[in-house]
Amino acid sequence: MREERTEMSKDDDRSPPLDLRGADIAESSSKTRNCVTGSGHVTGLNPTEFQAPYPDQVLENVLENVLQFLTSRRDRNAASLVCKSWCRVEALTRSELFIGNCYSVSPKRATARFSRVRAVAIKGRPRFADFNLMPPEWGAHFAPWVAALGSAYPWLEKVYLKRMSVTDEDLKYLAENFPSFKELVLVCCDGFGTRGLAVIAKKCRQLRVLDLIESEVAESDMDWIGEFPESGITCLESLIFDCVESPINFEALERLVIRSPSLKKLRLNRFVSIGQLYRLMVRAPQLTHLGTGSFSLAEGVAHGDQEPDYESAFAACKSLVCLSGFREITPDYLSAIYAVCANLTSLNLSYANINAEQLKTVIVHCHKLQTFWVLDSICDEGLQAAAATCKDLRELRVFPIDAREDSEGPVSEVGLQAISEGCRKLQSILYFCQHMTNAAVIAMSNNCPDLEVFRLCIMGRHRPDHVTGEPMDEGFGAIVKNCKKLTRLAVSGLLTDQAFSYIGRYGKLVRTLSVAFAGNSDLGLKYVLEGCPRLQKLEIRDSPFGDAALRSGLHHYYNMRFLWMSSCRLSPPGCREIARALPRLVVEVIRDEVGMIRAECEEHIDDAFDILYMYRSLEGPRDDAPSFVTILH
Amino acid sequence: MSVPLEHDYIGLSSEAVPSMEGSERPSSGGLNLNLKATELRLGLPGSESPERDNGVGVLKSLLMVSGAKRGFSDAIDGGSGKWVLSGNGGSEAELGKGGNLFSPRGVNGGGKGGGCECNNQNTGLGSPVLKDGVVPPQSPKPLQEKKPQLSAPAAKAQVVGWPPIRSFRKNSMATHSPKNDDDAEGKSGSGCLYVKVSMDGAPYLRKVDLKTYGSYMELSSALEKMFSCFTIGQCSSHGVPSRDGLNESRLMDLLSGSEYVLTYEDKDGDWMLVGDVPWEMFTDSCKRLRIMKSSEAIGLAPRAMEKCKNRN
Repeated sequence: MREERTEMSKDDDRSPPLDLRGADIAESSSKTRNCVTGSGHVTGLNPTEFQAPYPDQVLENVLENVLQFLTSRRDRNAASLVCKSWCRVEALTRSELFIGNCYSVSPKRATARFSRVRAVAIKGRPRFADFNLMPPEWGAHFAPWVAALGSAYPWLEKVYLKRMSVTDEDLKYLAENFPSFKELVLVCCDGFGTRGLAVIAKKCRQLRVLDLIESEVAESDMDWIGEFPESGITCLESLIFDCVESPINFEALERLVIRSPSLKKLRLNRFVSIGQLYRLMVRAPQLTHLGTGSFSLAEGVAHGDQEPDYESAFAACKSLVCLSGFREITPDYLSAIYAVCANLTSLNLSYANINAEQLKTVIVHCHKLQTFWVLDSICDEGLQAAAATCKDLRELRVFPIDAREDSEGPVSEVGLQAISEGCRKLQSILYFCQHMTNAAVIAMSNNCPDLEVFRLCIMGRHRPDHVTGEPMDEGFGAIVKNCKKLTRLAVSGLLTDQAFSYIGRYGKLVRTLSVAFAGNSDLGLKYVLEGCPRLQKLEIRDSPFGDAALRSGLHHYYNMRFLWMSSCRLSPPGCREIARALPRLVVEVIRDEVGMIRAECEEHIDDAFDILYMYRSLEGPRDDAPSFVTILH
Repeated sequence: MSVPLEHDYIGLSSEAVPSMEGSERPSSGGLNLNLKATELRLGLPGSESPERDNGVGVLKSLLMVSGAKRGFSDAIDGGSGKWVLSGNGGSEAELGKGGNLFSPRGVNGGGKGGGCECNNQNTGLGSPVLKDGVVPPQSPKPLQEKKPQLSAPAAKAQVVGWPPIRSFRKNSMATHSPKNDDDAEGKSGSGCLYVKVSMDGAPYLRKVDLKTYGSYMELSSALEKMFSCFTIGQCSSHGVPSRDGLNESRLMDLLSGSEYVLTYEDKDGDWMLVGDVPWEMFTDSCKRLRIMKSSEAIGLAPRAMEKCKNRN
């Protein structure tokens, strides 16, 4: 094992990922030191713990004081490669630990290297798992991590998890073992319920942030809001629970808000009515981020003349910059928010089924808007209105109200074109539509040179430019060519290998690429794997790429966080070949019982699979793989 | 005339299904038995017998062979006799020259407007494999199928996980949209009824959730969409880069003479033609679906007919 590691770091024409190489150096450096001194100091101590005095101790102290200011993890990774002492010191001064793939490194190894961590971020499942492409019990369990964190970092303050399976027991452990615990952010997580939240609320006395974002929270009758301490001021700054699909104890929430003068971010779920929202807003005019809940009357309440003055409640929130929610909006109430529009930098109407006219009344005030999420119910006309006003727009997401392949398409190339002409500073776009043209995409590539994220989802599979009938190759080609800062790309529509040729040729900064129902042959994937040196995350589904294409990426897979390929043309032997060529790659083949299954007449029935998911790892095959996952070797 | 009760060759088990008779047996167990609907009749079933329309789907033609048993198409169209292949019509069903169930119009969907590029005179770029310019043959007799409006639960469901919208969002939209559709529509994970769908000759099976469809029409158009890409995929030509000109020959090799019918395996393990029973009954009893070549399916109907005759 050790020999393999040093071999890997010697393999320098393809330098191993910075994180891993750092680990190699740390391990081998301490070993070397022991050999050098050889004066009998090794008395059975673990070599990595042994700290002989060395001449550059002073330098290291200085370094420590300097490096602690380094915040960017990429800078830190670079610093850790300078030499052994820098690596050592960097490890001592790193207080935020980011694990991009929970299986790439074990909790034990990570906590052994970094001893003074106060904040941890861990990501688990691959993104395509969000779309039911993979059976739910795949893995990414927080439990082993929380146990290791408990013993290594009792002073831990912040935990950020994305796409992890977190149980109520894990939450309980967090609440009970980290007295300084301050921030919990769960994004796209599942496995826990209101019981777990209740323990957090009850026991984390220092809690500042409890953010549940797009997570699946199992319902129960547990009144978790009521578990917050009933008396005294709280230090709560952020409470986000708009994804919780069960009612909450509103009176307890109101009392909590009253006792939380530091509360800046509050995102309510859809079980909070507009009347209740009002009550909270008048208690918390200091809010900067507000999720409005349902934004309609409670059930059984009629539109009366006794309604509170919503306008004034909003007007009183002078610091409000981010507005979201509107989960079951009664559009009549939209006028209440006019007063705050001028200050808004972020507006999320992506659950609000409003039309162009209704949007216009709002958007016309939003001159400072930088982030705008919306439903396509506003049609091209609504997008034109946004383009006319929101000159500072950086991020736009247009979601489909009817997410089916052949539904009506209220937005089209017209909207995209308008946005590109009006919002020249656009950096990130996610656009769902039914029809698109190359011309509009090319226009955006020319008008919006700052684009870093371009995700276009033409919902009809294999759909060409609906005006010319051509594939969408030229449009996406223009994006990679003209948008020199592009790091993330999602393609759709009818695409030939030519599109991938463009991506390989011009997409030199692309880190994340999502492909679905595209390409003609292995060439497509080859272009990308051979042409994109920065590629880290590649997710492909239902595209005709096979073993030969997979082989063409052998030189690069250690530099990637993961590769996902489902319903492509791969074969078990082809994948096995990769596993054998790259011992540090974990090559998982997954059978998907819900989606695609190999025809039973296929020869390889025993090892037939639907998904290839592979990732670099220092640990080898994981031991918690469920039965539908096979790890090839 | 009604059919004797033993004649449940459809294979619905007696506890799940009422007797085939209209009136002779009392309903069992208090189930809501839709006796009328399952009544088998020879000859005109009460609605018009489906016309023989050569331009129209193969399933119908198969059933024509077998006689006047009320068939899938009839069930689909309520007896209007028109076979609807692309349920989201507007576009004519592009059936190809062979009247193939899985038309070569490619996988870009039969949607209206932009989705129907394959309808156009210019190159049919319906799928990546057709980029060399196969023009799907127009149906000789375009069906005048009214396009389902947005309000109707339009059929095309969907390949799993496409479009890439998280189920949380889908559920939220489904539950709270003003159309207020049947709220079971959007809920994924609750009450799913996944059945495998295989197609003879296709390399993959698919699984579909029967609960997302409301009728045979929706199911058939969804399946057609799902599997047409495989039909096309069979003839994918790696080395054909040019898009101009037609290259139908390979496509036609595949399709000529090959027709498909949709069958299902019921709870008893018998293979039945899809379409004989009311939709809800079908979803209750269907365990898996198979799109089989009609040459193999021929055996089904005549046996049925024989049994039918015997009982008489």
